[in-house]
Amino acid sequence: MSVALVVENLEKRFGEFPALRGVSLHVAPGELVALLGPSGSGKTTLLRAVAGLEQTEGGRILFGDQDATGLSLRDRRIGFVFQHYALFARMNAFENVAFGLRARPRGQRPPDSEIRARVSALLDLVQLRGLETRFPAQLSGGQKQRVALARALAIEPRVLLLDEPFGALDAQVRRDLRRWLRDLHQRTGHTTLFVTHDQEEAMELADRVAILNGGLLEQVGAPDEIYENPASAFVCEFTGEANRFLGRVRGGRATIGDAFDLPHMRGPVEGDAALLVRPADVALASAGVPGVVSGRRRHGAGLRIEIESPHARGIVEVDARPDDALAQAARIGAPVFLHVARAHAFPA
Amino acid sequence: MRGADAGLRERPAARALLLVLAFAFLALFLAAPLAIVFVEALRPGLGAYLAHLAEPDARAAMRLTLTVAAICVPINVIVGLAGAWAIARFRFRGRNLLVTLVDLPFSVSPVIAGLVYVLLFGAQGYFGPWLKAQGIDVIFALPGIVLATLFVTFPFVARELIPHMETIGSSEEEAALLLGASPWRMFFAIVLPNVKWSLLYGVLLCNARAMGEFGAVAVVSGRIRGETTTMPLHVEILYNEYMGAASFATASLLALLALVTLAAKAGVEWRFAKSIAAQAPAGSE
Repeated sequence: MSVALVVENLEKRFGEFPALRGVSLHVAPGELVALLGPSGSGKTTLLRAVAGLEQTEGGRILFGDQDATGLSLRDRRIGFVFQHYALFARMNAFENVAFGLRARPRGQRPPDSEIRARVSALLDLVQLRGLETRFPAQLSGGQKQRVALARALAIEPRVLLLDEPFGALDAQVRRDLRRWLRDLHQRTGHTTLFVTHDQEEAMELADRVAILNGGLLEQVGAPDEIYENPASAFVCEFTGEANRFLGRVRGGRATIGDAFDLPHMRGPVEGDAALLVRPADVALASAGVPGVVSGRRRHGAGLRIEIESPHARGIVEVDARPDDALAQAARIGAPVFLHVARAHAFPA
Repeated sequence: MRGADAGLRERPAARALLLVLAFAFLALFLAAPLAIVFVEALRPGLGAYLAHLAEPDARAAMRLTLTVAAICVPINVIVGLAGAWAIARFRFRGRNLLVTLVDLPFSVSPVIAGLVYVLLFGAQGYFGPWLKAQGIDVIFALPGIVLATLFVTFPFVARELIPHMETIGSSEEEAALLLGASPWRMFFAIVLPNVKWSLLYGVLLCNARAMGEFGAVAVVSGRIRGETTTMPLHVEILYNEYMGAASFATASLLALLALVTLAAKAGVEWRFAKSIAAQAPAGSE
């Protein structure tokens, strides 16, 4: 039932503004892929183009072997969950889910008893049994989200598209729904593409993450691969916290300042470089890159110390244990040294 | 701001004065004329009142007015829905021009609207002779009255629908199409139920104006008694002939229509506010 989704060289402009600049993406049958990017990066445009809600200027979209160009919205058989759900305000939950089945041409429309059975099964699947007669205005955000999902699944879609599925929910509901969606995907196995601007959500939920920036795909890969091997400084900074040091790479060895040699460095750069370092890969030390403490605050179980260094752009954030002797000495204004264990190097 | 507000509230005399002024104005200029219409109409007694309404010319005027409204209101509903939907959903060249055109009848004197049709379709007009040759009468006949009425009533439906459709947004419609609905089903199952209250509101206003229009119709009708006089024209003709009671009898029907429209409008507004309130949480989240 689920098919591969292939996007080839998709181009889209809004007036003079290029929203998509030759985007290509392959989603395998049953795969769950996140489109991650800041606002204005083109991720929602890409999703809407796949659904057929936006006209594109170039490239093509395939569902399995079928070219979707010129295919009507109905014939695409796309399950689409809108950011604000777009539930039919004048229909109750049951009628919302039944809409796609009732809307079929007479010959293909299942009999009423079957529609009832299938809608009930879907409402069970999304754990909304008993809320059939509620109207959208009488449902919570999380419940609306699940009605929208059940409605999209009712037409047995070939591809499932979700636009910021958790964007309008509060943090706790978000976490629960995320886990629940992951389970649901494992059970139903729909080819799924979802849009998010939340890197944590993308990394936790998706089989693979596609990172968009300014209408270009910067990198596509498994969450681990993207985190460990970011293809660009943008990807590195967008997929997690990163400190930016200024350094130099010579013969595969990176140096910060005059003397500090990095034990590990990744990236095919020679000469001046931006060295991006995850907070976990930098620590207070008795020697290394010099700096001055500019702030310290609680961060979960530990401390986060903010350091200004002439060799870094912006504030360097270092995690430390509260009982660490060096951390205790690191009062505001105190001179400290940093040990950098690992960095991703990109052209400066 | 708050200080000024509190200051005003501390002066009950000022408030009372404003209220008295407002009510006195409304009573003098709105309620009193309305009451006079009924008083004058019924002065000769109920029997005479009914006899005035039963006169052939009066009945012909009623029939014509109902016919004109029965043609104009459905046309305005269809064209208004289509125009409002196009304006609310699409960005196209000439969209602003279309918005301005929708409002044009509000800014043009109805007499001008009538004259324009005489110039176009009258005996000496651009298309008049040709139409005459085909045996079609537009001016001094029903088609002319319908055209003039359409012109002055066009904004009512579209004007009500455009802001409402823009507030609702298009994602419900997109969802319906993606779920496999045909455009017709999308329209009847989603669009129409969503805008039904503002549509009804527009229809009421449109109908009241279609039945009550005087200026534009007066120019194109020719006032042929029993044939091209609508109720407002009939009222004026009788009044000019010093048949006050008969004139007020027909006028009382128009006044009654105004009162019914007002009541229906209040009812629709009340239902509309309730349905907006029911929709609001869904839209705001």
